[in-house]
Amino acid sequence: MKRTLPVKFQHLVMYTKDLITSHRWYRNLFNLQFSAQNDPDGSALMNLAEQSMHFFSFGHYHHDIAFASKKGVMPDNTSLLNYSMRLRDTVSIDDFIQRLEQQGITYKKGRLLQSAKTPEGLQAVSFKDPNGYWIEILGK
Amino acid sequence: MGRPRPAHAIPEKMHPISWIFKKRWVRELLLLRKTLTGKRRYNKTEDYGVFRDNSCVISHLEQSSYIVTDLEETKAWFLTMGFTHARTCAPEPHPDHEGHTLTCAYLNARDHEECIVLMEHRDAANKIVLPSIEDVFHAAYELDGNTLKDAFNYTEEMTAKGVKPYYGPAKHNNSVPYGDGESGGNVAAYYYTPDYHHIEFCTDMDTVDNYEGRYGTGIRTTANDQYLKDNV
Repeated sequence: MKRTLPVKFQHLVMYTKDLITSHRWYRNLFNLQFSAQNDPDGSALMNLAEQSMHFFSFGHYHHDIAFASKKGVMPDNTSLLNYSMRLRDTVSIDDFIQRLEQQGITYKKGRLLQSAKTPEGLQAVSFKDPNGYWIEILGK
Repeated sequence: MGRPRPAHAIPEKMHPISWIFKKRWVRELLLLRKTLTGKRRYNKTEDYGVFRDNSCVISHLEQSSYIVTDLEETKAWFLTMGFTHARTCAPEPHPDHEGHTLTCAYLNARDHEECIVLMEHRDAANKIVLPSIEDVFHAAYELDGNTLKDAFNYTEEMTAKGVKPYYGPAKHNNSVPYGDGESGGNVAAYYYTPDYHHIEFCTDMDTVDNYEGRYGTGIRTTANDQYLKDNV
């Protein structure tokens, strides 16, 4: 019998220290589409979980990354150290570094981990978001 | 399980709860007070959708890391779920904590090389540093076939292996009979790793290709703009 397999990493939902701060920072830096919000006053599940969520799209899927704010849960970077994303082919790594500099975001060139592989022809840049999560951006 | 259940994780006896949320009347009942007091209208749950626009600079997610208590136990869990092991590396310096180390195991999804990094974090005394599980609400991996049926098949296959979801499969919209009223349209089943990291396996998420056909563009865009004007 054929086995159903996971084929790719599709979306990531992170807890945030402040939903609006993360919303602004991410949309400004990456030009994300704001695709949905779930509020405990309007969603039965969110009501039970006492949680609010904002969803963002890269332009194809309904959501690629999202943020959740929940009473009593505070990100501390002991569970998620980093995650990485690939630039569109139309945006170079130099263009992106310029965006980081324009927005006053401190970065370092290269991957965060010594053991991480960078695919041939790509470069990487690493920096932290307002929650302390390391983000790696890979691009040409 | 590798460690005690964090306070925000759903207790095992409540894991079959998702079928309740597939009943619209249950969802309405839970929100009745919010509806009657007007809060529901003010603090809306809104699905704005996704629209044709190439201004986003990101193409896709590449990789994410999960810090774990027991590398081998968690690796075995992910292999059961259908991932494959790419490589495990020698301990390397932690980028944020001097003297601490990370040992990394890289895993592949079928079409996505090294999309997962499992990390064992040790302090300067070589003791394991426990993850808090307060960073990732969940990370999601798309399943082969990408249809509703594939998500149900996967859940059945995993249940036969003794791994049950804590929620789902449910479809994240208002459709009957599988919709739970949430956003995105994805059919999702959620599992806990041995450390209670939340991992979703999903199919059939709404995309730019089906969204315009279902909802159009004008109204949604206006609603989105209004929210941003008022709140962000």
